[in-house]
Amino acid sequence: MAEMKDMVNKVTDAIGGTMAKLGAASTTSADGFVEQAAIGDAYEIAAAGIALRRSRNDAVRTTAARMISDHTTSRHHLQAALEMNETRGVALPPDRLDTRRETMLEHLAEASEDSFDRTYADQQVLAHEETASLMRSYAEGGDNPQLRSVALCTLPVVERHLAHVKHLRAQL
Amino acid sequence: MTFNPLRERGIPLERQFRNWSELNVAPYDTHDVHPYTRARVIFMNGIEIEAIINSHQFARHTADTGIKQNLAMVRRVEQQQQKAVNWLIPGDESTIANTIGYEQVAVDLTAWLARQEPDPYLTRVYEFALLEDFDHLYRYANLMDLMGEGRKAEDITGGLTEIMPGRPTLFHHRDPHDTLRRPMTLTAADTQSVMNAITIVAAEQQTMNYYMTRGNIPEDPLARALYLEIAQVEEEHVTHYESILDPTLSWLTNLVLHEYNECWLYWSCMQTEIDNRVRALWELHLAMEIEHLRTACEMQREIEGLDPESYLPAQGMPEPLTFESNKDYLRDVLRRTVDWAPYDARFVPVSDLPDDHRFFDFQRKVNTGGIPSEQVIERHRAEFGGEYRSVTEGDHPVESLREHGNHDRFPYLQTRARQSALEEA
Repeated sequence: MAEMKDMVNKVTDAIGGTMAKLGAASTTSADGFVEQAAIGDAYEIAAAGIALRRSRNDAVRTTAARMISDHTTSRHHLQAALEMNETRGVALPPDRLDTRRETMLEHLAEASEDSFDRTYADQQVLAHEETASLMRSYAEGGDNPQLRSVALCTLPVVERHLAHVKHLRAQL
Repeated sequence: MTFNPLRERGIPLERQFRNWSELNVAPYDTHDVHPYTRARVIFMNGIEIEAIINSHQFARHTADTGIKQNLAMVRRVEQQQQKAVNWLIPGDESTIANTIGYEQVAVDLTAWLARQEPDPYLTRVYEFALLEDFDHLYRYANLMDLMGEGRKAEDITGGLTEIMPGRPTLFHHRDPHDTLRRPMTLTAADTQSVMNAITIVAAEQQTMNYYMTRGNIPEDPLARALYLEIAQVEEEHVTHYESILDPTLSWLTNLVLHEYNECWLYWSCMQTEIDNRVRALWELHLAMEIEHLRTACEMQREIEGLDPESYLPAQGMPEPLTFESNKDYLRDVLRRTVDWAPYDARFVPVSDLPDDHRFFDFQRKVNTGGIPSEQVIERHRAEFGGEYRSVTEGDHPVESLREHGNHDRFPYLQTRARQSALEEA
C-alpha cells in the first residue's frame, strides 16, 4: 500500500515538475521571476530540512546541508536586489509556498522510510531542472536588468546542483 | 557645477612623458600640510594604482597586439602620474602617521560616497564598512601614542574627523561568504553609483596593499599584530566593494569607466584643493586623463563598435567628490547601524543571526588567543591611564561604546553572551 502511494506521489510530482519546467522556460516578467525564484528557494530549504530530519544517508544529508546554505544565499541575493532602485515597482515575493510545492513537501514528509532518499533525490532533480530553466530564460530575456543579473549569477550554482543531485540519484 | 570630460581637450599622449626630475616632486611638509591635501594625495595614489593594475589585468586577457600597445603606452604614463602623486608624501612622515592619514581618507571618503549614493541598498553597503574603518582609525590612533610618535593622531586629522570606537574591530572578522554583496548593473544603475564603486574599490585596495606591505615595518610585536589583523579586514572590504561592481562588463567598457572615473576625480581634486602647487599637479593630470579617456573611447568604437556615449551620462558628472568633515553623519550612522552584521548579501541586526551561524564559528577560530585590536587599547589604558580619543561633538552616540559606558550592553557582546550561555546549556 505504502509503495503504491509513493508511486502515485512520484508520478504527481513528475507531472507537476515537467509542466512547471515548461512554464519556467517562458518567464520573462520581473514579478513572475521573483515569485518563482523565491518559492523555489523556500521549497529547497524546507525540503532539505525534512531530509536532515529523516535521512540517515550521509550523501543525502550533505546534499541537504548544501542546499540550505546555497538557497539561503540565493534568497538573500534576491532580497538584496529588491532593496535596490533598479527593481523599484517590482512586487515583493510571496511569503508562502504555492500549492504544488506544498504538495511536494507533503509527499516528501509522507514517503516511507525505504523510499525517502529516492523521493528526495527525484524531487531535487525536478526542482533544479525547473529552477535552471527559470534562471536561464530570465537571464536571456528578462525585463529587469538587476533581476537578470540575479539570474545570471545564480544559474551556474543551480546547474552544479542539478549535476550533483542527478549523480546522487544514480548512487542511491 | 557639472563636468563632462568627453567635451574637453587633453594633452596628446606623445607629450605626456616627463623626465626624472619632473617626477621627483618636492614633498609636502608633514607638519604643515592641510589634512585633506594629504588625504587627496593618498587617495589619488590609490586611484592611479588601480588604473595600473586594471590595465595590466586587461593586457593579460587579450591577444590583440594593438590593444596591448595602447595599454602599454597609457599605462607608462599612469605609472609616471602615480610617482608624481605618491612622491608628494615626505620621507619623515612615519608609517603610523601615514596610516592615520589612510584611515582618515577611508572615513571621510566613504562617508561622502554614502551621502551621495542614490541607491538605498548601496548606501547600506557604504555605511556598513564606514563604521569599520572608523574603528580602525581609533585603534591606530592608540597605537600611535604607544609607538612614541611624538605627536597625536589629531595633529594628522586636524580635528576634522573624530576619533572614537566604531563597530569594534574584533567583530569585523567573519566568514568570507558574508563579505559578498549584490552587484549593480551598468544598464540600470545611476552613473554616480558606478563612479562611487570604482572609486571605493581603488581606495580600499590601496589600503589593503599598504598594510600588506608596510605592516611588518614596526618592531613592536603588538604593532605588527595590529597591522596584520586590520590588513585582513581590508581584504574583506575589497571583497565587499568589488562585489557591487557589474561583473558582466567587457574589458573595454571597464577601461573606459576607469578613465572616466580618473577624469572625474582629478577634476574634483582640482576644484577643492587649497594648495596651489598641488592643485597644479591635479590640473596637469586631468589634462592627461582626458586624452586617456578619448583613446579608450576610440578603441571601443573601433573594436566593439560601441559608442561609450551610449552608457556615459550626457550631462557629465554633477558634483566634485569632496573631502570634508562628516562628524554629524558619522554619529547618525553609529546610532543606526553599529549592530549590523552581514548575512550573505544582506545586513541584519547581529541578534537576528541564527545561533549556528558561521559568523560565530569564524570568530572563535581567529579571536582565540588574544586580539591585537583589543590589546592595543588595553595597553594604552595601562600606560597612559585611559584611551586615546579625539571627540569634539560630545559623548559617544552609543552609550555602550563610551570609555566608561556599560560595555556589556553592546549588541555584539550581548549576542556573544547568549552564544556562550547556549553552549554551556
